[in-house]
Amino acid sequence: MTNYLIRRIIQMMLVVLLAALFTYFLFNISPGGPLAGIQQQQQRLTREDLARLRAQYELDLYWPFRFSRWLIGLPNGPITIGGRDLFANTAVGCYLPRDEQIVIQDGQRVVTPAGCDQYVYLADIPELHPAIRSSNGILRGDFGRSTVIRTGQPVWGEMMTRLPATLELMLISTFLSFLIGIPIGIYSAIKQYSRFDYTFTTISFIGSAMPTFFFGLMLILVFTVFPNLLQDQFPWLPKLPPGSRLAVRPYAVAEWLPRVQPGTGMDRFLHLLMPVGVLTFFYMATWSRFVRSSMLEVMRQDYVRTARAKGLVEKVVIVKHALRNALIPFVTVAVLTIPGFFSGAIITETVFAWPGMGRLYYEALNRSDWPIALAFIFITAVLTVFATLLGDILYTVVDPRIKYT
Amino acid sequence: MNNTAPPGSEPNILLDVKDLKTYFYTEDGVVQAVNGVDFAIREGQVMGLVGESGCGKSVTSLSIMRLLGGSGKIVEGEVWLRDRNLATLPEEEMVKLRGGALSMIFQQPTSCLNPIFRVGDQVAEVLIQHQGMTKEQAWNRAVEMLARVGIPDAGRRAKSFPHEISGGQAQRVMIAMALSCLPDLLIADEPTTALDVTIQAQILELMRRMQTEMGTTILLITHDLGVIAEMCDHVAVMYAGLIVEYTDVNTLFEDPLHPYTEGLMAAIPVLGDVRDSLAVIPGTVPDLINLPPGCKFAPRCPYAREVCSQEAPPLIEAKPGHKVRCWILHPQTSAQWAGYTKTDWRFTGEEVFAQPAAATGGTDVS
Repeated sequence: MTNYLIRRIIQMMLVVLLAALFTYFLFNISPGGPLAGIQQQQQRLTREDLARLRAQYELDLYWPFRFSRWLIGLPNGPITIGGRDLFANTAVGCYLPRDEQIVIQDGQRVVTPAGCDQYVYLADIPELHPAIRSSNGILRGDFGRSTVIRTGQPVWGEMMTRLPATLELMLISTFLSFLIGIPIGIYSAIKQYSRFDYTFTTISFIGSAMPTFFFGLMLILVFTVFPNLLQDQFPWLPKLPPGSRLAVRPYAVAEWLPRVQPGTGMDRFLHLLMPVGVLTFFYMATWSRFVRSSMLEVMRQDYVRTARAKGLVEKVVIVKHALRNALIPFVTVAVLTIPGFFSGAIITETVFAWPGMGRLYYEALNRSDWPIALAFIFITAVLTVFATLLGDILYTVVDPRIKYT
Repeated sequence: MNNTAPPGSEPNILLDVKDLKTYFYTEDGVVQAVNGVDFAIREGQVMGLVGESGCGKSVTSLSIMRLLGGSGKIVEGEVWLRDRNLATLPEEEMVKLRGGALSMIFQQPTSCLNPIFRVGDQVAEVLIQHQGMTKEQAWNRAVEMLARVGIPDAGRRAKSFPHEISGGQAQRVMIAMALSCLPDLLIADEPTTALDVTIQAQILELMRRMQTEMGTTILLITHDLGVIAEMCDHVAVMYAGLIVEYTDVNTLFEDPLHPYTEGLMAAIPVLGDVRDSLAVIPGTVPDLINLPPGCKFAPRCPYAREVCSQEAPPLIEAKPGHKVRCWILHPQTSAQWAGYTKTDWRFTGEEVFAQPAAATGGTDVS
């Protein structure tokens, strides 16, 4: 087991590193970026202005160096060994890039190839990118600073203000979906092809097939837009807040409920209803289908017949002999919800303006706030590999057949 | 069989199956897996139920246990275990019988044990369920039973999980589990089919030993006539959901009456007898959804005459204690086969279907 764990942890580090490298590379080659907007708005920027702006986002450095600085905070200047600077004259970037230029001169096309008018050398880094403005590297716990959404503010702090909202939303919906989905799955499997089974497999099918944004919008339509129009005639119709986590001023829901004060438990509850409803429905559909098929698989096994042949009552056969086996794959898949507690539900949070991680990521992508987007992906990747490891370890706990060496 | 006598009137009959019909209701139609099976087992005897795959042997045993699952249903017939009709017994009563008076072992011993429980606990579970033992008592008794079925170092082995023991050991565990409550009847559904030959012999030896020690009545289901010869007192041969021949084991091997049994016997390779090809019964088992009219074996029978495909023969007592379901031996129709010759069951191609009842060589039966 120890050997296995050591091997797994080395593999995990490799996977995270590769994931980080790929995401960084992809962000680097993708069009747009933090400068795209500025360039469009301000046509008259001089080359020097642009260079200064580029340097602000570290875009003057070549991307492998930028990646390394983002990951571990190095290089942050020439390497000093025994009082001597090494590689000080190595070019690590280009401060003033030059596009390809074609000039007609004496009827001749003169092509000046793209190149660099002023390189950035390793020795320039402390001056161009002083330590105070640079990240120590994500591996050392410094997630850098937001460039657009909270310009100049640490990414970590911004994420921490968002995390409680996401945790609240995800924990409640995951818990509820387990609570509803698992029993439905079990019962559907036991009563396969019954009316109950048909009803709930249909509902589950709808739940997992319907996009959350659509279901979310439908809920807003039914519980906010319609009551808004109809409350004059039907004052008992409840009108739910369509978004955000807390209200700013008191609001009325329905005639049978006193005005809700912002920040109270009732206020939180009402705001949670719709996003939790959407997510619970969606997850419940997945879990009930998973448990149903897993249970059906197990109910066919010979040992379930043996359990019946032993004279055990049906309840014991199902709960002790079938369910325990059916939950083995479930447990290991269920731990994969852990990264979701951090990353949230991107679409649902966006639809309901929920101030959580998912929405932060969505905004970061939309507005090219790379440090936030990269930190989000990096942490999700780390959590995912850890959840996978946890799942594999749990396997050995729940299934005696599995041992790692 | 004592079809007319009231059940239980003969004290030494333990299990009496009468006209059992079990059908499976599937999307393709009604599968008539067991189509009117009659047999009886006397106390302390070993009865064999033999037949090829899909003839309804296992369904018969599962019907006795009432473990048919969702789509299977006993549509007709009675299954008397002493004075109780298992076919109509309420499920609550049935639960008490299973594992207690009535127990069963299966074909794939390894997959029949629950992979996540220790084998000792699985044996102990029966004792807790039926004899109300405490966990500790049951465990000790389970270890005792495991030792008795020949598992070496039973105390330690009882703590193993099913994947840690071999197939033969798993079958021993299953036998220990099945016998731990001293059942009246043990149903063994192909208990040695999944095991290799040496282990087969050991398991059969064990079953015979336990049978003599505990006096358990056994219903042994197999497709292996060798196992039948070694283990059984009486044999019922099944074909397409029906018993076609029923007699004691010696008579069956010496004087098989039904053409199907005859074919089965001919198909056994004989040691030292060098042949170019083995004897076969041509064709395949009929589709249990669309059963042929008349005798179910007629399409494959080299002796078949017109009557065979028109009317189903009844099970008659052709000789004392020897029942057979065949028109050849039926008093009303046997005249049609006067002086027919028996085949040696070596066919090539479609000849049986081409020339029904033709003498293809072999010995003259007078």
